[in-house]
Amino acid sequence: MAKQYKTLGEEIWKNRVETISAELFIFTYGSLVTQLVKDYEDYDQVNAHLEKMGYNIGVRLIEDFLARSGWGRCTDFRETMEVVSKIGFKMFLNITPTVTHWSADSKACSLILDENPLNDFVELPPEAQHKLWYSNALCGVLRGALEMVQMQVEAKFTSCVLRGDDISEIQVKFVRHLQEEVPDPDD
Amino acid sequence: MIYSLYLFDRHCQCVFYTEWNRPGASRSTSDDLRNQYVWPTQHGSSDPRKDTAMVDEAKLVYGVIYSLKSMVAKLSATAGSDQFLSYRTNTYKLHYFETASGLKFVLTSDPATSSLLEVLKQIYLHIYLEYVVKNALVPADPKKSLPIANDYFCAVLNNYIKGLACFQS
Repeated sequence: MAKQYKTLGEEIWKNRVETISAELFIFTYGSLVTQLVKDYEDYDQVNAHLEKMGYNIGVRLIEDFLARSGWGRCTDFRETMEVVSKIGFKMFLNITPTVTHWSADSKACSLILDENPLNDFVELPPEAQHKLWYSNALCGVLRGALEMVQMQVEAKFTSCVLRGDDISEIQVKFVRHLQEEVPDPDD
Repeated sequence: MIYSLYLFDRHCQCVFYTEWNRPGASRSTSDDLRNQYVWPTQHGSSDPRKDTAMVDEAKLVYGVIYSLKSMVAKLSATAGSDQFLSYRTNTYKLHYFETASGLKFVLTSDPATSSLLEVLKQIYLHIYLEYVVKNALVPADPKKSLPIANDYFCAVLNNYIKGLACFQS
């Protein structure tokens, strides 16, 4: 099964993705974070704002993902996370994070980002090293995109190479299935 | 022959409706894009009576789809994987496509038309995605329904539908 996602992800990346210059993308994100740091002067607020921006990206990105991958509904959260990693991340960032550290009830796991293009050329100033989650927008994207397919999740960074950790890790926790809305009974 | 298109969002609201060769429609059938009937519009249309009728019609169509969907799921042997694709009466055929994100595309045509599922998918992938989702000027609030008031979207959709082999035949 896992292999099938991988092949599909690679096929989409090769044939159905318009690419832009990686440098352009990295520097745009970098200047955005820098500007937020200047504006807020508080790293917690910057983290929160990055997450919110990511959320707004995610709610649109999911349509692009669904339309281009032609993927339907996943049967469970495990499958969802495989698809997120092998097809989603592949399609938009050309990376495939490892899905691991599953909790016993299959409701929480970690995405290990072996490489993160956003991090290229980045060095955090010492005062930001213990406060800023530089790629926090990714967490928001995950939350926004999955909410649109009726899954409420919590996503947060637990370690990041830019802070001097060995790996970058996003912890994703499944909260609940959202009910599909039903028409007003009065009508 | 293609009659009309409804687009419902995840909040069960009709965010876009337009029609072409719909039988019984009294409007002129000129090719002028400005005469294309589109609903709902932001600035209210010239014919308020028609608007009220449309509100009821949209609710009815949604109700039918919703009930059919529940029935299909009930009768299905494999839980969760069945979706209905179309139904047909003696005067029209209704084609249906739903995305995992809860968008619902509904197209009506004459009963002899073969499956238009691919057409609906193309509208999603090449028209809705390009001119609504990727349009930064379209406000996106996942909690609210916003009618699609986007001339570009209408124009491209119109061209696409009119270019189909089954449009007039």
